[in-house]
Amino acid sequence: MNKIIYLDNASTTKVDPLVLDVFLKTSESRFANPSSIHKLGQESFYLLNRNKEEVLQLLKCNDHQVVYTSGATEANNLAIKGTCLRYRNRGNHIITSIYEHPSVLEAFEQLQNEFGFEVTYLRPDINGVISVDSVKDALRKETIFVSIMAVNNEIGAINPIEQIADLLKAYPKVIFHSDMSQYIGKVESNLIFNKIDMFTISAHKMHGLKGFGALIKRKKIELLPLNSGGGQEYGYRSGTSDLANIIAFSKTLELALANQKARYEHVKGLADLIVNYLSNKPDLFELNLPKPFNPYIINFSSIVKKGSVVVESLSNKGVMVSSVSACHSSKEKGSYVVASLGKSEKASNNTIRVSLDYTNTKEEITEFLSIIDKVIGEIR
Amino acid sequence: MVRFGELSTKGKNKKDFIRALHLNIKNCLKDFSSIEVESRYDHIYVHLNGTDYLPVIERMQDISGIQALSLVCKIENDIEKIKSASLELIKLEEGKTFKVKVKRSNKRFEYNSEQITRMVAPVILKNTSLSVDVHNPDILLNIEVRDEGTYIFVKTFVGAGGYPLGVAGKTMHMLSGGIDSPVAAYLMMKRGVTIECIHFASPPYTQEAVIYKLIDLLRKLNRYQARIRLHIVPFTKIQEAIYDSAPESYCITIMRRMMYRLASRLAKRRNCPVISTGESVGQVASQTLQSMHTINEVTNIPVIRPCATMDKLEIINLSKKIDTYDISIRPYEDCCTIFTPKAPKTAPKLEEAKVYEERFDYESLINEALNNIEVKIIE
Repeated sequence: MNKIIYLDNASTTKVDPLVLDVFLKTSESRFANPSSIHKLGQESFYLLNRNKEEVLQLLKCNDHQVVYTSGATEANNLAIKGTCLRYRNRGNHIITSIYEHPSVLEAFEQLQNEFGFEVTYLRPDINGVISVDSVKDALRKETIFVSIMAVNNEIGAINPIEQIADLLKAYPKVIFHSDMSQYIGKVESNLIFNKIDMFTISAHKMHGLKGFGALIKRKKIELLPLNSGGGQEYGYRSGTSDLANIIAFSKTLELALANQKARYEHVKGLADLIVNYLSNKPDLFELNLPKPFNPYIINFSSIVKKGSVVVESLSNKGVMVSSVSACHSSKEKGSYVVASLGKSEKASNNTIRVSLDYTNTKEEITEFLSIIDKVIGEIR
Repeated sequence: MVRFGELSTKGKNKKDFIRALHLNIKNCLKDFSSIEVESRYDHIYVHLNGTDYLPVIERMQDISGIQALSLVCKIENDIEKIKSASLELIKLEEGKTFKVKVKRSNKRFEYNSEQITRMVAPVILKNTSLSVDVHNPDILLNIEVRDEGTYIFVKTFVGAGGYPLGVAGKTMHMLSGGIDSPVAAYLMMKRGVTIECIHFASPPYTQEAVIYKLIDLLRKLNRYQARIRLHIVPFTKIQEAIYDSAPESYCITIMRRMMYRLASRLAKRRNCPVISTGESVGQVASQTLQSMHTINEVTNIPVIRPCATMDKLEIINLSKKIDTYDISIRPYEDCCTIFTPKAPKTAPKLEEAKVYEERFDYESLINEALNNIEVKIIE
């Protein structure tokens, strides 16, 4: 295979060498268990807490605390099940959206099927967005928990998280969680995190290491732990602290936030090239763009050729893109997310997702466009 | 002690069968350094020499051509030694009742079978809490007195049956990656047939991931055949030509005809006298009897379909047994699913298929495909 053009950055990103360097160095030098009472352990413990402070400072969260996890899936599970089960005496109604990541949807389903919760699944509007009004309309007096992702991973829709948080302020019983895996370091530079009760971050979506993430939550909110054990992470997530990953995570977050604006501008330029190309071929492609536009994720449908075949052809030519999200692309079902934008069944069944990143170059995008042009002509 | 299956009916060929089985056993157990394999006329003996027997038995249970395996202890032809060894062995077993069964092929031994039984049983009765039950014993103690020594055993395990791999020759097996074709491959191997596999790849209509799936499947089958050759035939051009030349309802029929042509030529080239497939009667449109008739017409090489009369459920159960099921259900498109017409012909007519085929120069496409086969060895 020739040169690889990686355009699947919403699935995962390549680790930043600076992050990897921090990880390797601290793995060697800071191996002691922060729970140990000897000098070496206490040094680790000190560093652990310093890093938590650093994360909160970077995110400008005053009354929050950091619970490190094995990634976004665990953070979502802990947020949803941990909170709902802890406060189940307050009510049994919970709200989420229909297009969350499976780690959210399955957790809600479990609460519904195994623990008797009632779930309202909100649908995106014609712009692909979960509106503040739809959240408001779904609220009941028994509602205790709302989870809405900040950025949808399939079409890139940016949800009005800040406004939803403002709305829910008036409902003190309701705890608001947001899966921000596709948001941090990408979408906006406004630091709105302090407004959100709890949110999920994944390291590998922003050039950090796989297998690491965090749930960041208000101190006063308690969780029923899913992992019982030695009481690490305030007792909410037991297991020996992974200091090397913790320090690498701070570095990841720091780099992502510091470079957000510049990266956004760069990616926007690349996205415009692609959108321009695609909108000039209305007989071949249909853009599935949400409003507001998110340059990091461009979803479109192949109208005449089968989407999965286009993806495979591109892959054979070195261009890595995705049909639906990589987590469920093997299920071979049409995209209900794209359908909710008012698209036809044919369009929903043949979606292709290009997800960009600051590491992509203009040359790569030009090359990608010439390859897709060729490929579409070749496929039957 | 390895007991042969249907080999005992094979007369003059028996020597070849034993030689093949001997080799297969040796190959299968090559990781165990201290094991020795010894062939005799009636049995093969695997000398454990201190190796734990369980992992050895487990592996050998996958070798075709073995009816049963017994864990035996070999001693000298000496009645005192027979007594003490019998007692020692039976003490390791759980149960309340026992029976002694003696076979004496060494007629020069000083006692006959009944006498041996009468001498051994009291030793056990005196030294254990076991009692005798000749009809339904918990423990069956076998004593076989042969020329080279006496074999005593209690534990017997069933083998895979069939014939030793290789003695029946070689087949060109059509492997799609679904549930049926690995099962069919297994059934062929069990019958002593070595397999080579042929797969038709149509990138980009089929995913590259299918090849990884095939490798994983064949690695499972490596338990039965240590080294499997996989031929990957580039099929895209042919498939596109069919798509362009034939009505949708005939695409699958003609596609299968092309596959059989390719498989036949490759089979000849690789010295395989037969082709085998995972087809099962009536399962899909291309597997109705009428379809088989129309498709099979392109070749005069025998096509063996081990799954032909099995129900899907039986096939699935077998695939679980050989541990290929979970791999087979990985959802990738293969060349049979991607161009699936809405209404494929279940009774395609030979004449019509021929007419559509003549519309394109398939001969040169077939030759081109054959010249560009990619070979992978899975071992």
